[in-house]
Amino acid sequence: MILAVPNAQREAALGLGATRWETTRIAVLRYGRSGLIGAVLLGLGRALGETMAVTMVIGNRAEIAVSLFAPGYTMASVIANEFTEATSDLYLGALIEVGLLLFAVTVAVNALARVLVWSVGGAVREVRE
Amino acid sequence: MTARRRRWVNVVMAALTALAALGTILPLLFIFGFLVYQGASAINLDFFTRLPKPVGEPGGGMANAIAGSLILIALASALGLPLGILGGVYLAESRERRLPWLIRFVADVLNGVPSIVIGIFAYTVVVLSMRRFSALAGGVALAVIMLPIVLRTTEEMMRLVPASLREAALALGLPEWKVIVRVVLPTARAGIITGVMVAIARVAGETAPLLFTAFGNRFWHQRLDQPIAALPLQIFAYAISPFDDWHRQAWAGALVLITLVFLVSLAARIATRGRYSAVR
Repeated sequence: MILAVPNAQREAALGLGATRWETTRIAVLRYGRSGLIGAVLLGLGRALGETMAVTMVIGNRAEIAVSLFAPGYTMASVIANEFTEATSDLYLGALIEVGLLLFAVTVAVNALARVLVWSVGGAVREVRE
Repeated sequence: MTARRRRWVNVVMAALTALAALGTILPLLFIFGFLVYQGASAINLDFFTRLPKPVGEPGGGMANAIAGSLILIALASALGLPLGILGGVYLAESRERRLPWLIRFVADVLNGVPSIVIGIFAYTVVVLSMRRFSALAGGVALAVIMLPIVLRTTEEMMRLVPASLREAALALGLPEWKVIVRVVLPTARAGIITGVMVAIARVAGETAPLLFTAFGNRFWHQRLDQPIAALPLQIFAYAISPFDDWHRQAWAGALVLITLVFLVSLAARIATRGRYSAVR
């Protein structure tokens, strides 16, 4: 995203006597702000749906814990843990619904992220993650 | 005074950004170091040539899982690559505006859909209709994950081909399809291969979509419509098991997997050295 900021931006700031950091802060980061937010959202979208790495360490307990240090559960972990055990249609349907919800959330986050990223880099020149 | 302060802030921020960049490398170094430390002792010839032993018996290996992973990747490539590359050609060459934009957007969003959701998709489409877990279902799930990566890389690599090359070919009287097949695609080949390798590296380590499609198998698989073992699945099963010996094998499996992925990524980098700079 930062590479997508035109060099004229940098040169203008440097020409006004800004230091390297001031150039970055004022001319580059501010110019590419929406794209940076988009990039952060992309990362968040990836993390939201991460399954295995979370399942192995989160504890998998079906409660909303008060403490951050207590075991919890994520949507992806529920699906991973219980899908092959789901014997009845209702159970299976419920798990697929969790999947639908997860899908909806990540699609929303990703769609927003793409719009933000494209606003700076353009659809075609966008930086791959 | 303020000038000195500004210069000072400049130096501090330069140091902080460099430190943050270094911080990105650390997790990889730690992971790799830990895997070597824990897993290297369990890697031997048996690990690559033997089947898993029953619970409680030491020894055995992950030969079936390594083979299974390779088969799954081959299946996914066979399904996903033709579609992805042809679609990428369309995106790069089409003179339409709206449809390519929509496809690009959908592909990028699909790229962010959690792999477990794609697993559910493959389960409902393939497993439910075939009434059993199968290598085929796993291949379909992985192919869906590969598709957007291959599609978008192919498109971007074709766009890097200089317009003058295209124009020269057209000026010689070549029809458009011949320009694409004989001039543009060969020029973009290294880049497209990179995209393919990146996609392979990505799916090689996927566990979640295989849990209820490929399902895993402790024996040699016989057919593609039967459950099949995969390295990530085996690592997961062994890692959450209560046996020390299995833990050691899980570490070793993870070490083998990360080495494979690293080699594929490295090959991808080497294949397109200097080409990424042309994007900018």
